[in-house]
Amino acid sequence: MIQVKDIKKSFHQTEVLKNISFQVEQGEVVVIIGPSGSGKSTLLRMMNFLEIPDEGQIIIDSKKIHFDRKRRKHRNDAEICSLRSDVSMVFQNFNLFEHKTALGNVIEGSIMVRKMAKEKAIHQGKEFLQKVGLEGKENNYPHELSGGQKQRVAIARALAMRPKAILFDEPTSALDPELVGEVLAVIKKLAEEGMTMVIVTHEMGFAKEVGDRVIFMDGGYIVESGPPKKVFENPESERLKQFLSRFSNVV
Amino acid sequence: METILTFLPALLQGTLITIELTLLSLIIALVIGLITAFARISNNFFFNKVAGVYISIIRGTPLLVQLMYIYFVFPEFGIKLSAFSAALIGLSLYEGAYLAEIFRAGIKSIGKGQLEAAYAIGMNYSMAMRRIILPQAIKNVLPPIGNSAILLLKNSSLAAVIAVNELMHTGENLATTTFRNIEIFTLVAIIYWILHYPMDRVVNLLERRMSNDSGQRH
Ligand SMILES: Nc1ncnc2c1ncn2[C@@H]1O[C@H](COP(=O)(O)OP(=O)(O)OP(=O)(O)O)[C@@H](O)[C@H]1O
Ligand SMILES: [Mg+2]
Repeated sequence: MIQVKDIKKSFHQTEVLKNISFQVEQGEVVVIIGPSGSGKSTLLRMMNFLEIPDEGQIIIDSKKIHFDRKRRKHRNDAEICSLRSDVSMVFQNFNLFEHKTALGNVIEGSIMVRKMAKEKAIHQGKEFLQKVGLEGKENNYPHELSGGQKQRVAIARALAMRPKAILFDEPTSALDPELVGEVLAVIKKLAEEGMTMVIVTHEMGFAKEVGDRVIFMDGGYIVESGPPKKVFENPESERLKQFLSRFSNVV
Repeated sequence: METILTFLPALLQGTLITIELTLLSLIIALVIGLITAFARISNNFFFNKVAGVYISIIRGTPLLVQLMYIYFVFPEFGIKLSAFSAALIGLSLYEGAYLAEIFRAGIKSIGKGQLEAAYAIGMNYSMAMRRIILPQAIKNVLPPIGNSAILLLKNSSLAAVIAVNELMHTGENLATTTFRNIEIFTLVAIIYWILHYPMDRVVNLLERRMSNDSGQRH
């Protein structure tokens, strides 16, 4: 479904991703964990081409894009824009369109990018809002919603693109603790329905519960990966053991 | 009182020219400003530099000098302009540079998360600008554009030095022939104030609406 091959990325001389390869199968939920600054967000943003790799390949559903240093692609490149709508992204800070209502946020992509008829987009948009538990909030603007509601609108907006996969970058980190549960519940429901997802999170309990596979990153490398049971209960590397010890109360 | 009334027709004639000059240059400056702002934020080195140099020249030299330059120096290079055209070009270029900075600040004030969210649903740059960034930026830039337009109205009086028959120049002419300085320049000042007043109210309204909005947001 998504294949990442030999990806390298530097920001001003510092190498943030040092040769990363992995793949995500259809219907799989991959959870990425790791310490702050290890490159998790950068890797996720690359799968949506918000960052452009210096080297390597990204294959999305058999469409292959090759990156090298000599012919740099721009993130506004037409080829890249068309691929992007197949893989949706949910951001830590929601990034809802502030000048649009909840429903306006959800239907924007259907109408403008997918060129769907307006009535159909609205009908479908309402269904997605219902799915994330927000019926009745269609006409509220983002500033009238709580953090948890905003993030659920963002998830509905991602779903409305009918993506082949959804990427989540710490979807609950900006939320008050009592609002985390409602967002995780929505993601869990999507996992049960077989949505392909890649989730960066610091919620270890959640990672263990929904993840089919856990990837541990540190210092720009994938240090260890495997089924959650193995990664959390029998970590091999010292670095992962050390990292997990900080969450010992959860796992 | 009677003498004042005899000056009014001429002054109102000048006022019409002032309004015409201000409105036309504002419209042209809005176009120049928007284009320049996009050049300034683009990754294209050439556009970026050209826009930067233009803004620097305009902001770094007095408007009076710019007007004189266009009217008196351009003809030396074979570009002959009527006084009105020279003033129109001068004021448009001047205002355009300031509006460019206002537009740029307005676009920058919209967080980069909005652009990324637009990209993430498959939009390209120009669609994201049109649908997501500009509609939000426009609210932020309207008050400063209004303030800048008030300055433009007053700056248009400098066109008097190249003999455009606008309000200021008309007043000057009347004063030199009739020596009624007090009445004439008081009238001129009052007319400028009256012209600025509705603009000031609009700016006030926009500013109040904006602070109400952000009040709700936090
Ligand atoms: N646009 C950028 N310019 C410069 N450096 C960047 C940029 N984006 C990320 N970095 C750097 O790259 C490294 C990896 O960042 P990244 O955000 O991918 O880490 P992360 O694993 O997501 O961390 P966190 O858990 O704190 O979100 C960090 O050292 C960061 O400072
Ligand atoms: Mg991150």
